[in-house]
Amino acid sequence: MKDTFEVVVIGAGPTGLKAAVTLATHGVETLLVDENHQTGGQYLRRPPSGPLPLSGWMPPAKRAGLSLIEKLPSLPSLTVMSATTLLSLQRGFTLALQSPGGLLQVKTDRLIIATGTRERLFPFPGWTLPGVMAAGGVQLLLKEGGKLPGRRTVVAGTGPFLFSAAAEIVKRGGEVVRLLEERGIASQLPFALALASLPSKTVEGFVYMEDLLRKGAVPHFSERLVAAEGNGKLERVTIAKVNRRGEEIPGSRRSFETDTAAISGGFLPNTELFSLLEVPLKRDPSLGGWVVPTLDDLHTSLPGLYAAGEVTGVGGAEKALLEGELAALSLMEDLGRKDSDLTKRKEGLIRRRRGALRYSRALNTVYPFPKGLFGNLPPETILCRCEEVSLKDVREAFELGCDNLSFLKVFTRTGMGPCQGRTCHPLVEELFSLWSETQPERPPSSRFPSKPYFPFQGKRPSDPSS
Amino acid sequence: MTQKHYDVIVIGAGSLGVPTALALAESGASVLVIEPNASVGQLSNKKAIGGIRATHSDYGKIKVCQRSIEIFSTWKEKNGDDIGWLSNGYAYPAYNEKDEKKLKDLMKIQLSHGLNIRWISPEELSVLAPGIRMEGLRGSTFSPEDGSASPLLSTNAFYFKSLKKGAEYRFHERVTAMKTEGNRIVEVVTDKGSYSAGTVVNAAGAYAADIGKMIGLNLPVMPDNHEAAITEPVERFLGPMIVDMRPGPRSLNYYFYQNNEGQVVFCITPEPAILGVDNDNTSEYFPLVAKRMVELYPRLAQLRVRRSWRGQYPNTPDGFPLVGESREYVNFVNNIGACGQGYMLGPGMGELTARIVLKRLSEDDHKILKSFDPYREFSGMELFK
Repeated sequence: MKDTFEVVVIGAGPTGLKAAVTLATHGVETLLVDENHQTGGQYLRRPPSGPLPLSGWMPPAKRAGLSLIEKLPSLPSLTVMSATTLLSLQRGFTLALQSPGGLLQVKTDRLIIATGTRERLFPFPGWTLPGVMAAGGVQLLLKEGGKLPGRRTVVAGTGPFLFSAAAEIVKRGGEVVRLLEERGIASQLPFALALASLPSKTVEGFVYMEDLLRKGAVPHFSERLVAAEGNGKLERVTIAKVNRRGEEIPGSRRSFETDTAAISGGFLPNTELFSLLEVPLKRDPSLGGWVVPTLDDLHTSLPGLYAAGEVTGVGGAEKALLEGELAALSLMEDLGRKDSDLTKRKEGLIRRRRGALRYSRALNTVYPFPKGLFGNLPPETILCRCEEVSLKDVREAFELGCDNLSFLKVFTRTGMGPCQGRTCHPLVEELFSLWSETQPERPPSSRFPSKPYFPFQGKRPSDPSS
Repeated sequence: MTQKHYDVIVIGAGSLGVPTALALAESGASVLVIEPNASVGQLSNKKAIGGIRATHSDYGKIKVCQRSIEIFSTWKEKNGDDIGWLSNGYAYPAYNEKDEKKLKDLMKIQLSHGLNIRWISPEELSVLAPGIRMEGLRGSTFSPEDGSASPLLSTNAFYFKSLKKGAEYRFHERVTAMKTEGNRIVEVVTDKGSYSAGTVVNAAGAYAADIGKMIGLNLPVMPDNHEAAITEPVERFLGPMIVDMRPGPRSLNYYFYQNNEGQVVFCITPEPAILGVDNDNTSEYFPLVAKRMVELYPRLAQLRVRRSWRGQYPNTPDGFPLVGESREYVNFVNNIGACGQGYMLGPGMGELTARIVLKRLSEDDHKILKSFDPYREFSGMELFK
């Protein structure tokens, strides 16, 4: 394989696909890298074999994404590497990749990072029990394997993704015993208005709602999953009513039996690779947390580096596709490919992006992190799942003067496990800012390897514990 | 404004500063520790991989580390905190005649100092380290009383105990100058205030020379960078710390052990040395040395590496620490230049430094301090660094 490319695109979700296809269509030598075994990311997840599922109604962004995947084999300028993890990234740019065929190094002058989001999860007692799953994990099972995670599923958390996950479950014949949304119905009005400005999104929302209502899965607002119990696996959940400030209403708790809980609290941008390159991030909760600041054309503060999709603000598939194309067009212009049609197209995208950002801000403002939940959390609740660090441990460290994440690590091992803080750091950050009434100054540090890897060999052994 | 006065000010809350403050506070002295970072152990201390050995090549380091091992190994039983101590020993396998001779010659010195070290056969080593390369293996040293502990846990434990004993700490505060009158330091100035003290102890690790410069001293401490990495935890398979002395491309020795969490931790010595403080680009050396590691120990191929990092060895010209009173300033004491062994020397050196400050040195202490004399001629080189 070649080891130098004009452009490398990291992440083959809707953003990366759109960017890579746009570049390759114009003859730019492009490498598209993704750690999943299929392209498309979570949004376009599908059974591992068989034809692309292009029939029937689907949101336009999904259809657009799938047709990009359809185009991939016909583009001679494009190299696609799936099941490949980026281990390190140095300015310049040098990439160390772990592919199924072994470790390799690739060089490029221009890089588009489109690493998307990960789910934000809220802690509660019992959230580490088998049977409690991230809604995205449930969706993965359904989309890729056609498997229901359990018989009876509670879907809980905040944000529109809950509806799409619940709709998916009932569509595949599962039972959603209760769908709980943190936020009250009135507080969602601004989001409904933002949605109304995007007709395709509105249709998508109605389709989900119709699926749900037909199966009797009525959404319950201002409700929260507050505890999960069971002997070795989930058997029972407790829910409670919450007020507008996200505080639990005393005396409103009740329990019922269920074998699965799908939880989701919205999405966080995956910005670790930018931190590896020491690109300064900006914390903007209205865009989803730590995001990459860019110029209007998606160029970052580092020459040759472009950020596109959820990493510039969590805003869904339409924004993702739009920014994928915009980053590709800006990059081509920087490569010296002047073309008045492309420039016009680019300017149009920059205008449309403003609308997409408005939708993003409405989304993240209407479904914020519910800080009120910490008030009702028992002290033994685990915050760092990998290292089993509890709320009490974190509180004690804070009271001893521990006021930042690197300090906390030294005290409690928070964030030192296999996920390297991807789940707990955002929670601890919220806690510290709540307790100290200050805003976090910088995101957690990121180091090589960006994901745990096997340095000693090319192929992954089948059983790492043997 | 009246300036707060302390018996002792310790500059730096790391591997050496914290145990020094603990020992001083235990003796009843009033102590202030000044540290620019958020907590104890935020620089080289937390970068240390946790190895602790007394099997050095000279009297001073042997005695200080023997005392450290005593403190580390009995800490839990005396103080209650688990600091991750493991009495797992050190092994230096020899794969060529030269290394075997070097190790055996050193063993003579080590045995003469009463250390528990012996030569073991390849088969014995394969009991302690199952799966290690047997081809070409001539045998190994094994020092069962050496061990390891968690720098994070132990330095925090020392810190909390020192607080209980009355030591004060000022974090997020940086020493910017020291005012002198004649041959005395009369004031320690920081970015947030100023303090006076009977004695000032320099325990600033990689930054020790910068502290010296503030009062016109040229302290020969020059940091270089070493690279470390840690794997995911696995079931216990490896006993001792394994030190591979053989140099390879762009790297000298490397060593690794399995910590009390089951994680294998590595440290690599780059060649040529990367001087100064450079914590970036941690992806360079580990992949380079990984090949050598798996040749030595094929089982390592099953492990996934979780994180890598860099830290500094505050080196001196001859590989020995600089510990003792200053001739230029009567109330200035150095506890610096640990050359990458600050963590293991720390507890023993902390007590020794406290005795220097309190003028309670024994005859044996004087003998120990000969190796660390800040005014020695840096002619030799530590045989077994």
